[in-house]
Amino acid sequence: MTQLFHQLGHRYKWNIESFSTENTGNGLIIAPRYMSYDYVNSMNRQLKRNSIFDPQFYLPNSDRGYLQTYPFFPNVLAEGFSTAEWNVELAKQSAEDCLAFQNDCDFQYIVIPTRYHSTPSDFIELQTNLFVEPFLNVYSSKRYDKPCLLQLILTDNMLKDEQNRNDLLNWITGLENIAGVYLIYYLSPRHKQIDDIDFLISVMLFIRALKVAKMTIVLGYLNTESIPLLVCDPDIVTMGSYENLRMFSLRSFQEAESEQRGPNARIYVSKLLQWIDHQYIGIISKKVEDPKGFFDDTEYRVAMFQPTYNWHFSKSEPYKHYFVSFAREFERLLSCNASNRFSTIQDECRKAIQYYEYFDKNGIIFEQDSSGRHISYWLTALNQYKKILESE
Amino acid sequence: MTIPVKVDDVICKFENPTLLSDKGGQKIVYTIQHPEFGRCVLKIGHYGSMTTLERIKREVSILSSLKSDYFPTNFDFQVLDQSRFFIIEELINGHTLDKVFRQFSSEQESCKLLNELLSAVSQLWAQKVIHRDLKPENIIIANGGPRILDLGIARVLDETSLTCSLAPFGPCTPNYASPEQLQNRKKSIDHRTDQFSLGIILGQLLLDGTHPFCPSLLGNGSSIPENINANIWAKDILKTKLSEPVFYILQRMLGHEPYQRFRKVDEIRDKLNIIILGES
Repeated sequence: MTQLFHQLGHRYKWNIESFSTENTGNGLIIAPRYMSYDYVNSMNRQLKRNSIFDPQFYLPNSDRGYLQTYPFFPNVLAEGFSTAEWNVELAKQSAEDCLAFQNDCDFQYIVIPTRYHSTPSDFIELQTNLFVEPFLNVYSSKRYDKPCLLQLILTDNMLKDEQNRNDLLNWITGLENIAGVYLIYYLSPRHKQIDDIDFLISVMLFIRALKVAKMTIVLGYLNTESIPLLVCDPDIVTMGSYENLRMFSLRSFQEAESEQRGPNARIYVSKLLQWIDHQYIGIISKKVEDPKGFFDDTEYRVAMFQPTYNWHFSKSEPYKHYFVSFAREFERLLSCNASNRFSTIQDECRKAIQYYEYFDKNGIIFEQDSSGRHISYWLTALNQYKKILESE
Repeated sequence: MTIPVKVDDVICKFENPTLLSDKGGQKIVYTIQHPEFGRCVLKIGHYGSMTTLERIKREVSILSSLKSDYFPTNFDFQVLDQSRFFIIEELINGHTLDKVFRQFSSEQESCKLLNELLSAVSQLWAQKVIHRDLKPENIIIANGGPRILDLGIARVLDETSLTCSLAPFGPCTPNYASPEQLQNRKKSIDHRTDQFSLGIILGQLLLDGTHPFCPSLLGNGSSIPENINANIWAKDILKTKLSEPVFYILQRMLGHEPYQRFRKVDEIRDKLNIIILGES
């Protein structure tokens, strides 16, 4: 059964609070960029048992945030990471300390880190030499009993091109000691919602192939496309607060948080399968029969709908509202059996499209990132994926 | 022009040499009476290059380290003058599988044999050795069960590949080779390559000896390797003929890409055991 994890980052305490006090989700993905070595070490042990530690080696030369407090982070260990100088000895040292840390903290899985590679031609070779082999050797020699996940950052070309996808799948499934993958996809440029039919189908086929091979699939940095992806039964999907936790980006590993421009304040509306600009709340409320029911009913909605509420992307309420409403939506979808889930998700998409059509007829014109244009793409991807399954 | 390998100076050292096979003069096989090991096999051959010699040494080394009933025991290996070598190994009495397909035509018998073959090759896989040439002619059905021969092109995954040829496909017997062997995709070759060959053998057992990629069965004019490359096999015929669990195993083993095949041998064996014990 798929689980929902919080993808932690800036203001991670909102997630931990929501998870601990409101029972949203099943676990946490720990982020060293934002959480210091000492803090993670001192976290409640039970909380860590429900968590995954993401080593975040994406840019091994990053000096952002708390990454510098981790002695096994490449930039720290090598005293200034450079690919040319990163050798087997350093990789082995990093592997020993990084895996021991994850094991000692009692995290649910042990994660083999990855770095971001923009050129897919020698991706497997680079990944194998720099991380997979040294880390897997340590994992095997120490005989850790926690299942091991291989982290991967994949670009759209790596997933959409059939030969690239096959090569990756052959490589991953050929690694004997790993239990599964912690997959992050990197699309650049991208819209806030995934609106690429071929990409969605490719991700679905990729997940399905790994599931047939009985591998565990953790999908990191997901926006609400986790809903259509539920039809492939991934083991863990994620929800995050700020956009950089719902759409993977390297910016946070290149710049300080304060240097990043804030987006418009938005609210998640499960009936629209979308985060919409808060400016639409008033006009939508006048066009629907039951505004309280339309905008998911949470204590945060009540606070946000006060006329005096000062909307700002950095305030906690929109995100905590999202955690509660998304976790509810998630539970509802998971309560259906597998075949009903497929049709239920298709129905949710159709209903959202109908809502958007209704609003359009009533003169509500959504700006691009609040619009529902992604949903038709999702629905098409779901339909095509189903046809592929039926043809096999 | 191939010069036949000189054998007289070797066979004269042993009693009762009897010619078993002569593959074009490059490798000649005799049965001999050995003073220490009794009746056994003597292989005398030419190595054309150091690569070939390394390959032969590797076969000998693998066989010597295995100490398994599923493979012939290696007794002796020597490099001789004039680029020759000889190997003395255990003589295995029995018939090659291609001569006795019909003994295994029921689903249960086929699955039992496959289970034993998996026990055998998983001993190789555990040492990161891939056989790469599993075929009925390399399997002897002996009294004690199947025995596997000819590790001549086995590949040790941790070692650098010995084959750097410009051949269109890697070393293999094309009719039993996986798509990745036929396409010479060396990086994709692992234990699942052998699994594909075993899948062909399973299909052949279940079709009373007919190859599942055989053009006459499929009604096309392609060769067997062309059908393997195009992923065209007797899927519909076998789906109708076989029980669902057996067809599932066969279909997974014949997955066109390695990732489509079983990831771990235990998974196949668990499924086979259910069929063998009649629990399906």
